[in-house]
Amino acid sequence: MSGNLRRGTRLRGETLRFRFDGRDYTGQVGDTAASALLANGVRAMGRSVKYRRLRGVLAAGPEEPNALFTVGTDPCVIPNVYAPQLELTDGLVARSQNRWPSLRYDVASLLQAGGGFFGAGFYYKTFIWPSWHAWEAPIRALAGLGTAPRDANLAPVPHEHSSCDVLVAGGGAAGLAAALAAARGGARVVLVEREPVCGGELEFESGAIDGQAPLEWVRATLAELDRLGARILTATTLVAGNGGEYVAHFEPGGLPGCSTMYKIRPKQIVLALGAVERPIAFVNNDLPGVMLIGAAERFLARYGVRIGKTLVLFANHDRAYAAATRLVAAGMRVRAVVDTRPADAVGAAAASRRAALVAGGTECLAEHAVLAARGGREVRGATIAPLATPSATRNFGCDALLVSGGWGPSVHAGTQEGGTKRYDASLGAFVATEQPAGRANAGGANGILELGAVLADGTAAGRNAARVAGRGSDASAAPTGAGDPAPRLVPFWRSPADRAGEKRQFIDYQNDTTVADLRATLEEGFIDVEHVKRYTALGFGTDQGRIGGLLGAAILAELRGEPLAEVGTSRLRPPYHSVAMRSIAGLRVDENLRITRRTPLYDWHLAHGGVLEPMDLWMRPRYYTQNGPAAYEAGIVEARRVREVGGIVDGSTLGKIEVAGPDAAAFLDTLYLTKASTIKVGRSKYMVNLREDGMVLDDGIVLRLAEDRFLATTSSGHGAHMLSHFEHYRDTEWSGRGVTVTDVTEAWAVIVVAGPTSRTALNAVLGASWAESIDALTHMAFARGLHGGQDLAVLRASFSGELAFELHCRPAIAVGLWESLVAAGLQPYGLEALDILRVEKGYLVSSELNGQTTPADLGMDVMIKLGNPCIGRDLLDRPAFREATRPRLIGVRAVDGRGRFYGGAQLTAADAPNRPCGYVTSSVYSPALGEWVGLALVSRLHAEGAVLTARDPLRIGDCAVRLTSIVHYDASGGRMKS
Amino acid sequence: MTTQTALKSLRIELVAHSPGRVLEFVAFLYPAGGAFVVGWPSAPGEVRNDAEGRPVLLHVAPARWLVPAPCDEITALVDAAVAASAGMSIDATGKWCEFHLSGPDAGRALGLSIDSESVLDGRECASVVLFDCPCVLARVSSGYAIWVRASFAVDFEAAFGRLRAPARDR
Repeated sequence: MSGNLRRGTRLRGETLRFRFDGRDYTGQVGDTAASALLANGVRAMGRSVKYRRLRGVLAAGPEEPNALFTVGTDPCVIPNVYAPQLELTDGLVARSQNRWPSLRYDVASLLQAGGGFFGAGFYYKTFIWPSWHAWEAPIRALAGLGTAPRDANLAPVPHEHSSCDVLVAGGGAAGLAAALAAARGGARVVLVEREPVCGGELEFESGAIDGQAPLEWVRATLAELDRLGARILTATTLVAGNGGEYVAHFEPGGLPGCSTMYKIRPKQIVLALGAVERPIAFVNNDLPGVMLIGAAERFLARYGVRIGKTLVLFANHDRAYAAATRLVAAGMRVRAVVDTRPADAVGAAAASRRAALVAGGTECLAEHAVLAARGGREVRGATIAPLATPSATRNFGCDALLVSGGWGPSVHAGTQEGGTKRYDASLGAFVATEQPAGRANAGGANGILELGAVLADGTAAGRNAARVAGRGSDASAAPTGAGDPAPRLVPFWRSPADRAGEKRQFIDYQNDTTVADLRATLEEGFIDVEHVKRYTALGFGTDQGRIGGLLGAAILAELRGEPLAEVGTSRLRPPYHSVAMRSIAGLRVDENLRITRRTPLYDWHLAHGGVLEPMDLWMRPRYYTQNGPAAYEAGIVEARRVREVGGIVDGSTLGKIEVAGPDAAAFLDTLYLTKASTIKVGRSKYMVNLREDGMVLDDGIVLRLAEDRFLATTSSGHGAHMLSHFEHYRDTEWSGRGVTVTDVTEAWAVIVVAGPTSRTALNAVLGASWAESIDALTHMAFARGLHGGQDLAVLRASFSGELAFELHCRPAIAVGLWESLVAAGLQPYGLEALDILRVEKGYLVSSELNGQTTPADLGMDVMIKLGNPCIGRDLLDRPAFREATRPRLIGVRAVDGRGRFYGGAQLTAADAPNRPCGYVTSSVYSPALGEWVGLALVSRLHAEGAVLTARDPLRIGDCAVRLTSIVHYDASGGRMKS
Repeated sequence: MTTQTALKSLRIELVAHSPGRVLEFVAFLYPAGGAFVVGWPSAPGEVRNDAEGRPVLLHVAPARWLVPAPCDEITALVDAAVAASAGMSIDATGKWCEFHLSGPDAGRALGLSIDSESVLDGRECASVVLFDCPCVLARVSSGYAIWVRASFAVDFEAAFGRLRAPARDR
């Protein structure tokens, strides 16, 4: 490594200290980790995943496949950070990946000893004895990129939503020209650029724009964009697009932490993402010191890093001569420029530069190729030969070998959501073609690489975007410029090599995919590019084929003997750039992962021992800790107390839908299995909804508040679904009729008061003004009035089998009412006790409403016989629903009165012990009965009294059970009617 | 040049208002017709404000109006519509919690959940989901009035609290 100029466009001079692989280094403000290490003479920055080959920096952007660092110290580390994008900060700690115990000496690299590389498919075919699982652990330990952090300690990433007229992706020449044209036309412009500064290749390209040096034009353009109100988002990469919304990821310093996800909805988008330089495959083309020509120029221009003392350039286009000229001017010796093309293929400008280079001592070799890089741990030379006589090799000493096989236009974003691409033979690459409405490509993505044409293309795209977005058209002159000449590229993909050499001709550096792998894959019958990708891992990993995708496809085409245009490339998928999972999660992390709906009594439950569990988005008390250490014990205590004394439970989570209007009754008649129109004002009815196919959808109580007004309650978990169901029919078949549907779930808190003392307690709490009404309430009747100045309805209804009332009150008085009831001697109970009480009485719990049961299955024959022609009613007459093997809800108890059985246990008969005839839907230990009781769905071939076996081999084994009435407790209902 | 600023210190203020009586009015027909011409914000997204600029009648969805803290005049308007058999009034007291969001970064704070500028482009109110909470959002002179479904209100407020809080590593 030569001494360094250390004067680059991005350097600010101030010294920074950092640590890499345990050693201390210094860099400058503005450096990246890669540039600072290169300036310190460090070339090896990582090892490959598969062969653990020592690797250095190949590229200068996020396409870098080799130099991925783990940043931070355990356990707060961030793996797979691109070293060329990792902004240097004082005290930065980074380490290389895929090595142990050190980068220089890696034990696993011994796997490649002797040159016997594990080719594609080796793992699939080798590690199958005695079982893949025997090998899985060590292979997984060796595989993968970096190590996942145990605690990244990253802040939640905000997602910012916005819109604009024109979104321009890419801040190079084309993007800036497009943004300028659009903004001059009056468009609201947002420009995103992945680098911390705009400019792209203008940072180093020779030439002028509007008579200014390229970087001067960049500065002037940004200033004008700022004046025109454009928003410039730097260090922000467009990573995905979906449904007209584009996602851009802001990651300052190239490190997750202060990231932001921008979700931008533009009227028009211009994709000016440039082109990615690609390598050429030759033997040992992965040695540290092999670098893309463009990367070497970037490191020089931005960071003042001279990549070597003596260079060899290997390319197939004119730009190599311009690059060589700049590198020589920066003080490096270019030993040779190796051009695969004939001498007469070189353009005039390049020929002039070539002549100057030759005059300066550079050997320029036409129709030659680098056959191999020489060296052990880094490049020491290059083996070069004429393409016509590859055996006539010459060795050139060098300490850096720069390569360029051309450019692959960044069509990644352009091929999402319907965009297409076509093969351009002059570039040896695919360029974007047809784009969906609202999207256009500009510059490199269109295969345009000459500066003047790029500016014109960008301007045209920006003008058109502004016009289509409904803004004006920019009439001012488009920027004009000239830079490096058109590349005049002749595609060249790999240098000649024998079969042994093909094992070291790397295509995908990150996955160690070689030319030999492609050959082997074809020989094994994997021909399609997508199959090849999956068999060889070509295009996997963080670079997603940006370096090796096109190169691999081209060599595949050569091996298949078919045109590259027909072979194509594998499908490009978002995200374009690595995005930390935390950025995708946004604010939905930790305690914010899931929204919580709270009842007015939520805080009270928490403050009084309530152990809450989710029901849909709601949180409801399962039990109260003062009643037992766990749900089972506490539930028994709470259920027993309800039967003996009484209790209260929070039912506010029930869905509540107010259906109002002159046609409300008729509307509900179509939605429920039984008629709502027969309910008298002041009374209610337990009712069931069916799906269109006749299956039970939900159940609940419907209260008739007035002739034209009903309150329909739904189960807690089905509230949103039932509202949607109601609204669907209201807005379709009942559109224009006199009925309205309104969700009033939160408008009414519900307190259920159950047990033999419930009436007494209620009278004590509500006072004399309510006493008469409450005493007069018959089953399913309700009274309405005020309590504490707020609306209150008291409904006599029971889901516990006890005398019970539901208090539907405004939330403002819920806590006060609840506490008054507690003071009156009623203790709260939770869902565990509620389930016990329900199963004891044979009431549906929830698992019986599984979307596969009809009303007849659930014993609701009486409701069916009423003949209400509701939704789903006709399909109840399907013959299949009358088959003898249909399940039917039935009670179940242990034969010996002592055995246990759980919900989910399969039921089998003695004559068919391996064929379930049903299953237990719900089971509880009944404190009232002193034994386990349950509900089950069992084939109708088995009637009450039959003895079956409840099979539960994974939990508690078998239990002999007898089928019984579904009502296990108080069959006469006397307690409820008392 | 416009650049990003860290979100650690959004200058916003979110104030919860004491819940009062709230009505919802739902018309039987949409478009709602002649009964809603005078005094009614007839197009979805339109808002009728009182003399002090407070929203008193919001057309939050086709044929559905929110009536926060109904005054006599609005109550009479609603009653007349009911009497004309144009729709039904529902007492939704307790269903909504009202918040007022203000401050220089109020719009930006909303932008962390939805593109509020686009949503309110050409309209004064909209039914939206903010930070996973169903809401009615209305632009008022000093910022935004937001009615949040009551069961979501605690999480809604907490979401804004997090936006104000400094991040750990910023």
